Amino acid sequence: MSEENKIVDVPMDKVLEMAPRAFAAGGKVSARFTLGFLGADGKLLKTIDCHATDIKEVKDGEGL
Amino acid sequence: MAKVYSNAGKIAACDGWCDIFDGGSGDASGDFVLMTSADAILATLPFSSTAFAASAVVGGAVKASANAITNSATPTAGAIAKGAWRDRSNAAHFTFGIAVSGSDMDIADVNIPGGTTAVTCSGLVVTFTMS
Repeated sequence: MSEENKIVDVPMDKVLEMAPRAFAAGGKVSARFTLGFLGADGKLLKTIDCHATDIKEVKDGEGL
Repeated sequence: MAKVYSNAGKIAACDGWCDIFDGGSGDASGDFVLMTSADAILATLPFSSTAFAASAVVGGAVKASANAITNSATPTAGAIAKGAWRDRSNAAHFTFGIAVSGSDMDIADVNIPGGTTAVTCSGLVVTFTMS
C-alpha cells in the first residue's frame, strides 16, 4: 500500500449519502497537502506537510 | 474471485466525489476550513469554483488535484484540531481530525502562530481507492 493510500478515509456514511453508487461500493479517499503560514509582509513563518498518518516535517521560514 | 474495478469506474467515482464540493449555493466556491476541537473556525481557505481538476490514473492510483486554493483571510491563532472540506452551502462533506499524534491526520505542529496573516494550502491531491 502506498503512503497516500493509508491516509484519511472518508466515513462511509458520508460516502453513501453523497457520492455516486460506484463510490459507495468501497471507495476511500486519502489526501495530502501542504499548509503554509504567512506573517507580516507575507513572509513565510512555517510550512507543514500534511499527509498519511505520519508526523511530517515542519520547515521554518524567513519570517521567524 | 477478487473484485475488480476498472480505472474508468474509479475515475468516475472519484470525479463524482470531488464534484460534491462544487455543489450547494451561497458562496462562490467550496472551502477548506481549519477548526479547533470546539469547531471554532481558525482559517477558511476557498477552493476554486471548480474545486478539483478531473482525476486521472497516476502511478496506478486514481488521483485528483485541487485547483488553486485561495489564501485565508487573517486567521485566528490557535491549535488546529479538525479540518473540513465544505461545499458552497458550507455543508461539510469531508472532515478529519488533526493532531500531533493519534488522529486521522498527524502533523508535527498544529498551532497557527500569533502574527499569522494568512494560511496557504498547496499541492492538495486526493487519492481514490476501492476495495
